[in-house]
Amino acid sequence: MKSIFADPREIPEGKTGLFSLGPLQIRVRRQNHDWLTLAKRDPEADHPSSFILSDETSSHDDTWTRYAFREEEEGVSLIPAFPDRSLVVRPKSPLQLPPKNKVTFYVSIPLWVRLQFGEKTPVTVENLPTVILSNTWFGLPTEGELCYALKTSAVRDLSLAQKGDHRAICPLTVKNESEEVFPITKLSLPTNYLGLYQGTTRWWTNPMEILHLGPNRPGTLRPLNTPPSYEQCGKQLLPPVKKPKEDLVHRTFSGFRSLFY
Amino acid sequence: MEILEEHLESLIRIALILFIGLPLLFVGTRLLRKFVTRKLSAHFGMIIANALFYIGIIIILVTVLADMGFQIGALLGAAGIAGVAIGFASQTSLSNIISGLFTITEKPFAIGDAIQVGETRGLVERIGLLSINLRTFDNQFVRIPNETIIKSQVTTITRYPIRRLDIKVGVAYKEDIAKVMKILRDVANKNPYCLDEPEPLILFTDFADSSLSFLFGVWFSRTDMLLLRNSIMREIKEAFDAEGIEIPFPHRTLYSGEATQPFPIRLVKDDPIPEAPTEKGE
Repeated sequence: MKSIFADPREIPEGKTGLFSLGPLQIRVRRQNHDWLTLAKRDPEADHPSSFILSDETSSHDDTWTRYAFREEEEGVSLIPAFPDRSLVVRPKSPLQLPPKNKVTFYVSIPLWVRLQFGEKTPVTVENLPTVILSNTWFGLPTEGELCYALKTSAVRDLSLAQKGDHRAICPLTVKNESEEVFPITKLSLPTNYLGLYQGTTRWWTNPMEILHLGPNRPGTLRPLNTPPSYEQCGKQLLPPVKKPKEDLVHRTFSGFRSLFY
Repeated sequence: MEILEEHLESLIRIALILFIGLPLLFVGTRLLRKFVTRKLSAHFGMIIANALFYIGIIIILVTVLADMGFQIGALLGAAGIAGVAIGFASQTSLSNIISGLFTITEKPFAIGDAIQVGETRGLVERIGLLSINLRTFDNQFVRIPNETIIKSQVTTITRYPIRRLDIKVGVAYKEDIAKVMKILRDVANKNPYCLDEPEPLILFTDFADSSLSFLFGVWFSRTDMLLLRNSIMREIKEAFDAEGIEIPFPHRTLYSGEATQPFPIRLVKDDPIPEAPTEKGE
């Protein structure tokens, strides 16, 4: 698959570079030795990832952000990133998972992008979501975690997972290790443990496993540090923010009340 | 010269106490404040550091006075008598101090919280033994005595991480209630600051004089108050305009005797409107 997250792009003085990725378009213009940037989103659009150079000038109607560097930075690049909070996702309809069973969901995650200037020592100036996600709360009104709500459902059939150059698929397996039927109504997916891989047709994350141990016990998350096996994947493009070590994960989840709610 | 020699030792001791003791006290209280703040909370840090500072100052003062040859016993006796007199004169201050101790123990709020006391809303900047200091949202400094805090209803606005914004919405009697509720739900779904969970509260509350009244309660993260309020009010109006939902103003209907019959009005198109009489009757 074609990637917009390639080497830095050169934008000559007086020209505008247009990065398109799903609903997001980022214009970067070099003018009088300064850099001007403008990010716009059209929620209905799904632009394939592309970069073009144009003579487009900065319009007075738009609010451009202006950056000045000590040295003239050459090259502008987009770096993929994951949302900065955990994601809450629901299956299309509540699902009952019998004891000692497991189920795999495919979660389509809209990526964020970091806009960087410079090649030798790149400087990140903006961290932009490709899709503006709605806030949601995971927990009790007095205690919990502020998350983003995914509008798309967690699906069991990979072909039904929402596609797009700005989306990555996370294979999420839920195992019911308890002795009771476990109703899955919504799941919290911490993005800190996600790494990004480039597949042949999609972006992928490392697979995640959530264990349900019982009704009054918090769920345990197991991020697997391996590329997904659904497609031929290249090397990891973006490492997880937190290393998925077993003990670290357990400590992290002692802070969580529950992965399920 | 003799006097100087006689008191040289005392002078050196006083100088040492002042030049070593005072800086040590400053550094010590600062370190203690940081430690207690880290272990307990900012206001405990402030109170304990202040207490240590004043005790340290009193000890240094007494030591210096003793070195200067003052009779500390007599001074303390005088201070005791003065204390009784001051005690009578400072009942309000004592009440504030005791109220302050209760406030600190009970911990209804902490430094940095937004609170409301009576009509005053603001951020807590300092919790002292006598009073608390607030910075209001329009940047005014307000000092509230601790006694007032104990006696009044205090609302800690930022106690919990999420809050609900309740908006009263009225629509015309002709509108479809189910459609209005669906529009409000869509508005909440599309606004990124409005939390998906807990779900928005949409209640049909009243058959009011001129409108059907709804309560639209949307949950938000406590840091998004202004962003949500600004955006969702505009979005409700835009969504109602787009769907042709009327937001009514107060109506009055006049009846001419029979409750079911409207007031008769005859519209005469071509008749000239008579001019109003002037003062002279011309």
